[in-house]
Amino acid sequence: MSVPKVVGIEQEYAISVKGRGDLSPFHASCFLVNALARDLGLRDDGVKMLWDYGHETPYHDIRGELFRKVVGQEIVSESENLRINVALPNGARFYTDHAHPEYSTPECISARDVVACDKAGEVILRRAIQLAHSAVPDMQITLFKNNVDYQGHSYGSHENYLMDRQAHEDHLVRNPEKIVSTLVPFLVTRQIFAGAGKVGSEAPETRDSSYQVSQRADYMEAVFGLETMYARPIINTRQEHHADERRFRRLHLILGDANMCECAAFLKIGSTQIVLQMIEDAFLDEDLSLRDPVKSLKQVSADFRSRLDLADGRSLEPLEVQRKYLEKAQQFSLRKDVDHVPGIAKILDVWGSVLEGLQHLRITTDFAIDEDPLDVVPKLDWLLKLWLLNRYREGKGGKWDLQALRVLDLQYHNVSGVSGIFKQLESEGLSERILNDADIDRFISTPPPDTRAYFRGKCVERFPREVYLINWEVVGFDHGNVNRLIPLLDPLSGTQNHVEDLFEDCENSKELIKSIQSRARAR
Amino acid sequence: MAETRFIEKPIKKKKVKTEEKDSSIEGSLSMTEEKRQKLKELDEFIDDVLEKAGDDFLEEFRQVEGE
Repeated sequence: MSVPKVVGIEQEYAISVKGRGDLSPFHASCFLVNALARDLGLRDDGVKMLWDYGHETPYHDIRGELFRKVVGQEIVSESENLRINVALPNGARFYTDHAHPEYSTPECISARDVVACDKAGEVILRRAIQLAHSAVPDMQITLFKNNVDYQGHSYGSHENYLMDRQAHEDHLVRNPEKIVSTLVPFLVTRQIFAGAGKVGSEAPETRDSSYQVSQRADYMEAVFGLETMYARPIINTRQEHHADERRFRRLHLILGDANMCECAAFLKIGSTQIVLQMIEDAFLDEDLSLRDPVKSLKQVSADFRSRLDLADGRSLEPLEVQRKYLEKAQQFSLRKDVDHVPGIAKILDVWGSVLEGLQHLRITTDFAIDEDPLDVVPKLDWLLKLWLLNRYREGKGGKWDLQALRVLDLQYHNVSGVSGIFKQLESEGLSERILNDADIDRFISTPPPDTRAYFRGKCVERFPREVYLINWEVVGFDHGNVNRLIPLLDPLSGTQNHVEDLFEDCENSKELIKSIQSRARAR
Repeated sequence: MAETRFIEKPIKKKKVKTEEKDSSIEGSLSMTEEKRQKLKELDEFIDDVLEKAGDDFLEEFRQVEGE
């Protein structure tokens, strides 16, 4: 039986620092984290909110001990913890991951909300840059929401989906062939709308490509695996569920691109939510296993119309594969016995129109866009970027080996302000929007109302001096002689409906805990 | 799932104006003076982005692997 598809996005940003040659990307990233934290009063005297790493187990594998990676667990000191992390009143986490600033959205139930939260993250990071610049005017930090640096490095835009424990164990642990026949073909082909686009190639399989659909495809090397920095898998098997393990599992996907287009991001998340729900409810009955999923992933990235070999001998275009999922999703949406993902009608509508648009799109072998009768270009990053690059290169003799094209590719993802090309395209109405500004603005300071992120965010907002540790599944209060932990093991509890009145009635966290206890006793 | 066959629906193709670049967004825009101006401004914006980025931008844009 499917569970609500709670979802979150973890975006690692590329960072560039000018004017302070001695400041490393790591230190610049920490500078941003703390500039924002100070501005929010989260570095005031008496506030010491630590991120609790106790529930992070990056070396544990869902497939068992045999796959576990044996390494020394790093201990993060308190001062280092504070330097790296800040938990925000909107339920999100902003921190330094290696040398990347990373913004992890709060948990959301709807695709629309998580895209709005992700976009709110861009606004928050812009604010952090302004604050850092005010503090050190000769330092210019620029952030890019992308996945490649053209020097052989890649960084992630990870997605997390809540799954039912039994379905997850059945499909991913005991019978992985089930996920290979259902989810993997969907993920391999969804890049035709979810790809962010990239000039050139960084893998032997795509070396002839002047332009690719996906940024991450070149870097994916396995179907299953624990790794995130090499041998990257389509399905990450990290056993770190951040929820009650008797009921829930987390599906951690690291193959996706960072989307700038709201429409592409909305469709990527929404369609994945629906497919996962169909898997949990055993609604997908066709075996679409690909003969070589990793090869197919790169193949689609190099040519979105290429035919993919299925394990059963058929060959299908990515569009045909996606049509099959869409048709099943349309049938599934008619079921009355399922709590469908919020906004399913809109997701199906966008999914259908995008596939139809791609069906009629004509691109030449030199990647010129010949025909786009259904206006799909403004909906998808890889096409909008391609349109822009074509516009530029046509004025320069039509070549693909211009360095400027890679600069424009990177600057498309610049979120810092004046040089952000996507922002410019959007402001000129050349990118189709799903959200309005108010949707985004409300998640800059307010958590989503319908998940545990509400409780977490409210604790940060109301009682920052009393919170001594926090993470996705717990909030801990320092009450002098005793520390009190509030577990948040159910992502669907601690919502605005559940606890708003408690926060209104309480002056401090001691009162809050008493109220929670008395409400629990009354049940 | 049953086998799906594609039936191409007849789509009325939009004419691409030859006076501008041969790609879809311009094609979908009827080339009013306002839109022509918008695209001109976009081209200027792009030139400005490249100039501000400078010659060393790509070389200096070195990141570490993400986790």
